[in-house]
Amino acid sequence: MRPIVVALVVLAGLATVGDAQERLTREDFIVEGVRKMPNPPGPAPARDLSGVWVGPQDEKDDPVPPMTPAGEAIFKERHAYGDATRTADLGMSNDPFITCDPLGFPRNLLAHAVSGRGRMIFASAPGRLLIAYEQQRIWREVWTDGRALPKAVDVRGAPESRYYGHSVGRWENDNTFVIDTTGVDERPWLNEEGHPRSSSARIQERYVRRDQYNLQLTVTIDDPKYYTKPWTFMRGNFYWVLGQEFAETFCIPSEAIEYRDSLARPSGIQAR
Amino acid sequence: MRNRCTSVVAGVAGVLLLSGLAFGQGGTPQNTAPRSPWKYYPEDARANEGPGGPAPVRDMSGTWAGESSGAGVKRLVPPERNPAFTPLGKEMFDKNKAEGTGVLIAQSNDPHVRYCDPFGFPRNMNDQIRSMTIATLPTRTFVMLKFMNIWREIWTDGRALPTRFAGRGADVHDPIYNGYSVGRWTDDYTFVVETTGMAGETWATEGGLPHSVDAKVTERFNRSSKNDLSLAMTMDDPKLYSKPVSLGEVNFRWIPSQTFFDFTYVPSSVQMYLKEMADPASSPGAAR
Repeated sequence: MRPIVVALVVLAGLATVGDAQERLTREDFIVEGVRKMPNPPGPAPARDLSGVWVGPQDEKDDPVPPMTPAGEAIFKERHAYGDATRTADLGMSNDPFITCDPLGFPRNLLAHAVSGRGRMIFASAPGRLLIAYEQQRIWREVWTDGRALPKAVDVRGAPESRYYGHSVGRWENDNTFVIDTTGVDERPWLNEEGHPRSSSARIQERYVRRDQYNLQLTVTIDDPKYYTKPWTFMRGNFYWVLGQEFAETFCIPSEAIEYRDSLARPSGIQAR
Repeated sequence: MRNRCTSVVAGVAGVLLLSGLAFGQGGTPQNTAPRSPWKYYPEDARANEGPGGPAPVRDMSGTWAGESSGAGVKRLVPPERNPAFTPLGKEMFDKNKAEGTGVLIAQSNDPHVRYCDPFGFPRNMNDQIRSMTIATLPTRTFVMLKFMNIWREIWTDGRALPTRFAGRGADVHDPIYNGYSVGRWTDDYTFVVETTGMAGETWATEGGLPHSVDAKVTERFNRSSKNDLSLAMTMDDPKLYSKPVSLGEVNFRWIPSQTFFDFTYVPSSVQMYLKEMADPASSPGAAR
């Protein structure tokens, strides 16, 4: 009798605990891992992006346009991880992100497309908008003091190219903030496929705050050095984060190297 | 080379810094060259002498130059090198082989030196503290560090620090590189931050002082004028130290242009540097 009584008590306890925990259904989520706010969104506050956003959801990208010969030459040298269609050696990859090199801009936006859980937050400092990202825990600054973008980089008297470029931003109207970026360091890849982008590329982000909880982002690239025409690199929605908190998401090089050397290479998935 | 983790471009910037220092001292044509708003000119930061006016109330926002910035900012007090260890603390410290203490690069097991792993907190506030930008939102303050281009968040909404970092339960938090921070103004010019829950694999200082996940680090920011901000840090970690440890005091100066060098870290460059230069040069047979 005693084991049955004990079992019943345990089951009752578990039920009690279960009842105390929140029971969530699919309707409680925007997409996997992104909780829906409990109340409907209000109107977008004017000229205000502050807060933690997660995305992109509903991402739609235009196909990458044909490249110039210079673009093709660089692309040819890059071997995306797991891509067996462009390389003679299956699984051979020289993606710099494998050993935790910075993603660079704008690839850091795309990386968030993995499960759509990448978070970012907008804050401000004198003359700037600051954007802090969950992925790799990096941050960018966007100058709003009316300055012009640098005309050149990496030449005498000019600033150096940067992994996340040089950015200026402005409010186009009360709900649309536009950022223009140039001067990106050419070493990072544009995307996971390994497409290039030049330091003279002009990359524009348009943030449209549709309401209190939804922020739409469109990214276009104009890079005549490597591509035959401009295109829309990314369209997606970012949603307001319930609780407004981040996870700490560092890419740890020692762990990445250990994974490569103890797992990836012995398994035959060769990486740089 | 303290900045080996940075991109090659930052190395070039370092050369430009030295050039700027040389020309700045002589008032030569470099000072009359057109200024790009996108570049940091350390001589301009050095020329911004004096307090610059009273400190704004409860406001540290903006970009600040720390030591190694060329702005003439000096470190007041370095971290303790010989704190009062517990036996466990001494055991952990002895395992950490910091470069520069009679230890060559090839012999060091500093995860930052060998792999460009993030410093973690508190080391990111007392090592390579070249520049930081502080931004404030209603419920938190961000400290955005130029070295390695990473950021920390400090909650100012009155929450308590977490206390559990092991075991199971809703109140158990994972140890993380930057730890969990809360902050408050204790007067109009002093901002106090407390942090705990830092992942144990990081070092508290460049010299290899260890810390446990239960360590509590207190930072005391004090803005004494428009141009001056100081930071004093102490660590209380009874598991590893029999009394609190001073992690030093750092000075910051306001940067008039609010621009600084880029110090994005590039691990592949580190691996190349170690493989082609540092490790061969550190080998027993290498010429000195």
